[in-house]
Amino acid sequence: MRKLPILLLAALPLWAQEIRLPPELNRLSAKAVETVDVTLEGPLLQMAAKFLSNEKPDEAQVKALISGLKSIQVKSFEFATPGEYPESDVEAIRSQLRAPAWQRIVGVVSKREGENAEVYTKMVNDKIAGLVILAAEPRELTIVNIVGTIDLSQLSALGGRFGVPRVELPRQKKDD
Amino acid sequence: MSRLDDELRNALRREDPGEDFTKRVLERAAALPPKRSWRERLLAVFGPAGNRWAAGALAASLLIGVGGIEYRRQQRMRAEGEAAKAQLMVAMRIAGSKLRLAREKVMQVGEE
Amino acid sequence: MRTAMTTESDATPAECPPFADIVRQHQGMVFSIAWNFLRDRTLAEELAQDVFLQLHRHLHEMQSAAHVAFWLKKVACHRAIDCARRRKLRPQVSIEGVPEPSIPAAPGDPLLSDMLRRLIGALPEKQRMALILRYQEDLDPAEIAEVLKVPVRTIKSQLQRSLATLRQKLGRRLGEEIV
Repeated sequence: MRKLPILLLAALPLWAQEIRLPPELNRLSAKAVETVDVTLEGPLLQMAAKFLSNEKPDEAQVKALISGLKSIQVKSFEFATPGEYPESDVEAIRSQLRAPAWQRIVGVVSKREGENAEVYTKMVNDKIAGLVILAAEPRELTIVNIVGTIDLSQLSALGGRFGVPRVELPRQKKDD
Repeated sequence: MSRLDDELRNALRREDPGEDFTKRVLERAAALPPKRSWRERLLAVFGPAGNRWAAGALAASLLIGVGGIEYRRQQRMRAEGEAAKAQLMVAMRIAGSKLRLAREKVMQVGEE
Repeated sequence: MRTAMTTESDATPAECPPFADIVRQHQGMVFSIAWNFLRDRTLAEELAQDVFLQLHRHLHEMQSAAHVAFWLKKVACHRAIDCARRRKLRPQVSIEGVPEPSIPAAPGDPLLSDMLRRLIGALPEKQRMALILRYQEDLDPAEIAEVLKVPVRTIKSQLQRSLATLRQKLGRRLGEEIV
């Protein structure tokens, strides 16, 4: 009988392990001074990829990076004053990331500055198949939800462009 | 008028980009294809006077809809594609900057 | 009543100066809107060029020299805001992150101007543009509202908020009391 729950878990379709951003998040845009709300998936993501230029290095690298992706979702809210969003909004996402399929690879809490930065990945057949970034700052809340095959070496190759850092934490000094 | 008003006017005063700028704009404007009336464009496509009848008939059908609809569809697709690309670049920039934030935080903790 | 010329031709309406003169007359305004807003010289020049090329394509629609000036202002503002949103140019430092200077500055002090520009660059986009139109172009709130297509009361409150923030950050440096 103990094996059953494990088997059931293993049999869970991939989509059931995807996180869902609560629709209540959208009400934050009424309070935010700036909102970014991007959802690109399926045909729209493919269309965006077609318009990326191979001539421009940055666009060419993004094009390669997103080739295995199914969807990208970014919700970012910037507020005029601290404390405009409830912790429960962040917890509603975090609780989904406690599922066995997800592991937290970075989790930093700065109580002094009131900033949390968490990075979660989902592994399927030893490959990263999902990436979630939660960045909760006093005046800004950002959630990034990427579904699909992500090649970490390509991600680290973007280091320095768009501010994407090299994934291996270096022994070298900070460059800025 | 307050001191702040004066300082703002000083900080935000206009700056002329110079004669080079003017030259570049005029060069680019001169390189744009010349504007022609729709009649001239059609005749350029369909050739000499002997074909004017065919040109007129075909132009009429184009104007009625087929070419116009296809052109507008392509324009719309291009606009949608460019908009999707712009959104994608914004999304990647934000994802990148937040990854960097997480990395910097880890490094700060490591140094403490 | 003046009517716009609608035929597609290269001739500009009699009320409008030639294109080259328009560029020379207004390039300072268009470039400065982009430059003061984006704080990226290359981007500002590119944007300003694109605005004039767009005007070139629509020159036949212009009714007068005044119409041209308004059109250029409006398009430059909206393009700059769109550009910033696409690039998501976040300020290097938030307004709260800019330390308050303690030493009073002389009028026209370049360091003070530089600090002001940084603080302005940290404002949200619409507030930033309203401030630029107010102090670079000397527009009143009604005129700013017409350019940015927002209600006049929104412009007034945006200007009030921006000035209050700047005054708070720079009060001592300006030798003014913080209100």
